[in-house]
Amino acid sequence: MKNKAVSSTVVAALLIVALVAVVAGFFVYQQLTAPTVAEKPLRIGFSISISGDFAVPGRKQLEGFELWKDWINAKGGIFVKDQNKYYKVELVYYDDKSNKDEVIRLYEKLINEDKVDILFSPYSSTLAITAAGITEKYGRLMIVVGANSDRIFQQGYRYIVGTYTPASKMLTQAIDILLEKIPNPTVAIIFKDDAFAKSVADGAKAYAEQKGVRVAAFEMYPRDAKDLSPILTKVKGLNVDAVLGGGHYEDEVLLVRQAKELGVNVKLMSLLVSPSLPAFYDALKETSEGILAPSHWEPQTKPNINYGPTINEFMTQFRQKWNSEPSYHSAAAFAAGLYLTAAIEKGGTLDNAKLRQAFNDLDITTFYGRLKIDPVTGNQVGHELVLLQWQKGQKQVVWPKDVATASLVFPKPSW
Amino acid sequence: MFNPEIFFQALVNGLLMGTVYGIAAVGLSLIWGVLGVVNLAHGSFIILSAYLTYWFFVYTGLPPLSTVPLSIVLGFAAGYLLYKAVGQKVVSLDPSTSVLFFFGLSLLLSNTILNLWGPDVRGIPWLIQSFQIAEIRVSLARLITLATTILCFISLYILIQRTYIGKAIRAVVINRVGAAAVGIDVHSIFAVSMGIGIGVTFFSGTMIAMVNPFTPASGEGYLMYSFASVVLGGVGNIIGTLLAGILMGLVESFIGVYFSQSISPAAAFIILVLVILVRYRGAK
Repeated sequence: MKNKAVSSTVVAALLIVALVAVVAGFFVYQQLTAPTVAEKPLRIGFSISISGDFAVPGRKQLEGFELWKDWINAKGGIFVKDQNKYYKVELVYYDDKSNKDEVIRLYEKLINEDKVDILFSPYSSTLAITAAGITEKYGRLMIVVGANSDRIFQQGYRYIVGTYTPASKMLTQAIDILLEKIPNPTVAIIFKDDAFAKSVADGAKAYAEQKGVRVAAFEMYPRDAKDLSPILTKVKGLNVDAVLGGGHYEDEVLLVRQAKELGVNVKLMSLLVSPSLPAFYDALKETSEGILAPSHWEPQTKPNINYGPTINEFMTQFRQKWNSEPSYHSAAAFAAGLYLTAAIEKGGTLDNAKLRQAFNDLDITTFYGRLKIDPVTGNQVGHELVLLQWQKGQKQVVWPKDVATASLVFPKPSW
Repeated sequence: MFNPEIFFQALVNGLLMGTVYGIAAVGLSLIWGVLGVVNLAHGSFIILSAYLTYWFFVYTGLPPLSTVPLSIVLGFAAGYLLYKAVGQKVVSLDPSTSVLFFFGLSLLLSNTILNLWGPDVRGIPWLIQSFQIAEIRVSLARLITLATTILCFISLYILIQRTYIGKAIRAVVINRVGAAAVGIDVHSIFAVSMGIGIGVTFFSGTMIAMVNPFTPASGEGYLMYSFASVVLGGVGNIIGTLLAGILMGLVESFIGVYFSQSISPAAAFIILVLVILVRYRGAK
């Protein structure tokens, strides 16, 4: 009895000691294997257009990158599993002056001299396709943002990941609207001599023909055109239902202005990029009435977010940091950062080739919308566009109907 | 298949735009002819003036046409002072140095514009209207630009042809040493010519702001058109330069309407090359 009692006390004591040892050991083990903060930050390199033709969207894109950097660093950085470390993010960037030659020089420099870990693309398809040639040569991962020409993803490149809806889909919604509203519509597709605008125009033409829409004119105008009356005079003579196309900023504003001056009246006019910015309205005032354009993101959209901040959090932080409103360029840039974060977390590595693989299994919905790539080309297949329309000096979302802030004005009021 | 409406519309379009190309090139031609330097900052001066016109419009709400006297005076002052400050040294150096100087000046100007007004596209939403004569649409703002340009050009022509200063300028164009020998103060003629040249360039910038949108990067395109007009019309020959600009506008318009606008710059430059070939043969 006595022995037994002693032995049970001993057993109890041993058990307690063992328990303490296990708990302590666990804590020690945790201490030893707890993720640490990496000494060197994760360096992400890119060139961006602070001056030149793409300065407006370039700067907006840069603001998005900067905000993402602040956001992720405030959270402690990105966790990389195979190193068991949190990495703070550092952005390494230069002004490419919207110039291809600068892009070549700067991406070589970013990779060889600055030794950045991962790259973002410059803004615009022309510059991004140039940068992709360099990053691919060195087998370095590049998140393509602010560029969506399908040509970028048709080169067989294996280290690029898209974030914008492909250019070839940018005018398909406008064609859908046309088909819904009028029988047997005809369209004129006119566009700037530029990698991005060409991809959009080719995509629109293919889609129109597939849907049985007659393309009465398919014409390109020069990059430096200061007068679009020739192409518009030609289009006027064709009596089409819609004019689709454009290019970037100066040319699109000129296109609208001269279409009015020449009395080119159509039921629908959709441009590509300029109407998403307030400067478009300032330069045209009431002449902007009824003009449509696709947008990669607008704050009114309602995605079912499963990754990253909400739209409200993004908007508040953006306004706080930059004292201005974000455009889709800024939102997409932030989302590109989130997309990369998700891939690093999933892949658990910074190895560029493995990271590119990690993107293949990723399907996330951020405040910017859904992100999912085609595993082979890296082109974006998950993200959806919305359609904007200028109505009485306000930029309204008119398509798709479930996120619309106003109903579509159709036909466009005549000039 | 010939459609007179389209033909005359193309003609009107070409004339309206060609006049803008022409007047934009006159300042470049004058400075090149008199001082023997190529003002590579020409495009930046045009855009600077366009932004000043825009600024004036935004803050006063007055029609941009009322900026014309101001922009001519400002342009003249800028050109005159530029010559007095640094131009004198630049002109006496070899041509490659002056090209470098103006290239640097153009970078300085376009970056100043970028920092002052930001990178956004700007346009003056003034008189975006047109009227119709027998199915031909004529833009009101462009027609006013055409009329103002003709008035400005006639004044410039009288200045060059009828006044003492004008005669002195022409003398310097023909023979710099000879002009100095008969007592013309070549340096003050240079300063005045630079003033007139930049003054006309500023005027053309105001005209461009009235009809076209622009960004801080728009100057390059206008420099290219101006360069072609000067070579086509003759360096220092202001009438030739204006007419060459109009010809460029017409060629662009007709090629664009009857063929494709995508080949119009190529067509314009083929004509340029042909003219140079013919002219050089004639000179020999």
